Amino acid sequence: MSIDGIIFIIYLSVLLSIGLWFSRKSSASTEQYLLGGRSLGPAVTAMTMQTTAMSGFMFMGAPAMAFKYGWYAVWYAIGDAGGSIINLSVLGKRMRRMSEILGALSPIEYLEKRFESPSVRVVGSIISIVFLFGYVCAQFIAAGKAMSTLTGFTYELSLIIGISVIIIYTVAGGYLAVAYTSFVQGLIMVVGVVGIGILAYFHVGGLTGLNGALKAIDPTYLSIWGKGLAYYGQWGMVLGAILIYSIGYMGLPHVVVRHMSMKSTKTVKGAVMISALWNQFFIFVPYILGLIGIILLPTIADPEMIITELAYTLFPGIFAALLLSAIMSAVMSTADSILMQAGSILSRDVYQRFINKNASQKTMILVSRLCILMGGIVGVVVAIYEPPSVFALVVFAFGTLGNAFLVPYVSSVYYKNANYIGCLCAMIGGATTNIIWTSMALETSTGLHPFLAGLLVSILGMIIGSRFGRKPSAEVQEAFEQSRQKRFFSKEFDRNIARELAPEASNVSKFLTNDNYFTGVDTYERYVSTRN
Amino acid sequence: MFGFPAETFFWFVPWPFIWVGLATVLYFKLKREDELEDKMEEEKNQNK
Repeated sequence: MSIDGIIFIIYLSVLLSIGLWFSRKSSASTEQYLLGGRSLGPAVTAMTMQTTAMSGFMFMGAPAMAFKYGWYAVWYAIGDAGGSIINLSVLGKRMRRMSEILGALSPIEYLEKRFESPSVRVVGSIISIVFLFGYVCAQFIAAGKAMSTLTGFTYELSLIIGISVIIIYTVAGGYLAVAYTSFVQGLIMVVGVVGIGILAYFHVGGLTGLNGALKAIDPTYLSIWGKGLAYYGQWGMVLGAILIYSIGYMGLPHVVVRHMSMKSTKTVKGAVMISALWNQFFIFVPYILGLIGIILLPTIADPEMIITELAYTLFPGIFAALLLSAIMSAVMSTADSILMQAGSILSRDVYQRFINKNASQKTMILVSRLCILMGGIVGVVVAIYEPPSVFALVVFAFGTLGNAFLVPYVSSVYYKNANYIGCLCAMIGGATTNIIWTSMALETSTGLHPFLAGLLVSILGMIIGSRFGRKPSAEVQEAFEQSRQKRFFSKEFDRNIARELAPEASNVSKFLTNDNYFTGVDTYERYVSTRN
Repeated sequence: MFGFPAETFFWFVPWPFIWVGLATVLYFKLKREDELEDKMEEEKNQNK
């Protein structure tokens, strides 16, 4: 194995050690472990939210998109760069308050309690599980490709090693470890991508040099309408490209759960600022590297490998290894959160809610672990036998999740009369429209982006559907009014909310304590009984 | 203008500045709300 491969392996080991170290540190007692969420300030909250949101797509899908479409692809980056600001400011405080009032511990449970129907939970669970696994599968493919380039192993072997690391990390890491390693990963991602960005930028003579070279190849690369003016005048496509990553995050369960586990509502303001700055440094660079790839790597067989190829072409050695470590950071920070979320949904929202209401903690943990393992195996099979492009899979899964859940989550805190029929229509209508639009390639004939089409149908579904069926109960209406008010909890209560609303922490804690992973820890039951 | 066509320049380049500007405005708005909430809570505690 080459020296850069060894550096990469060391990096993975260090990252896993950090995860375990934080788990151990925070597990001196169960209470401390669960209270870990309470200590997450704005910097870590912003980083964990952004690294979870920014997946392997940013290193593979984004440059490939820019390679294909030219500057048009930057429409996606523009929306993405403001996504966290919109997400935090629209949902942040209200959703946190509402979830506390309703006593919801997972994003899907939240929907059931707000819209008062188990059918919402069933439909929500099915949609989220299917597309979260699609989303995580894209991360696996990205991990396999990155590791294959770096180590020289076959794609299949790289995939298995990469996924094994992610699964071990997910099961052993825990919420606090995930959050703190996300912080480290976020820094590595920025340093890695900005570092190569600066070097490549000067290599092609800055923006002027880049644009001059692109113009010489094909002037339409510089157009806002895409190469060959493919989307000329199609504002429906442009608007959809901006909206998918600007407001779409509000429909992703593994991102939305971050609102529910913040230190306090006061964390929002700092997180908005930090994530906004981080976004401007990070998000545009992969797209620009894709454009640089048009000039420096015009014959590349797989455009998703532009960044890795650029790393080896321009900067072989240690720097390339660090950059590829950044790619793995992006993949791991997203994959662990999704797997954990999917495991929580399957065990809590499906198994415990509908199959075995009296399931013991041990059973729940087993189900959760089996679900995560099953997700990993399905991911390996799909990634080996039917590997779609990371770009296509992420846009599809992201868009469908966004179309299914964005309108219900926003309506839950902004539309008082929103009821379960509206929620079901919005979820099913939005997701189905996105699937049909994408699979039948209706965007070319209609000029409407699949996400925009799904969003419009979802909004209509919510408005029309909410006119039928029973109205929200007096309790839910009261909760709605309370969530609109400024803080009504005491400071002390507000600070303590995090421990209740960190389902991932709770899940892992149960697993660790039940398995006596850490000696000398209180059991979860004892913790609950002492609290009560 | 960095070799951009005018249309591309004016549609793309301002966005990072717009987002940071918006985040700054929101930061101070949320900060004011937090301070107001603290003040209300203090007054409430004093009245008890």
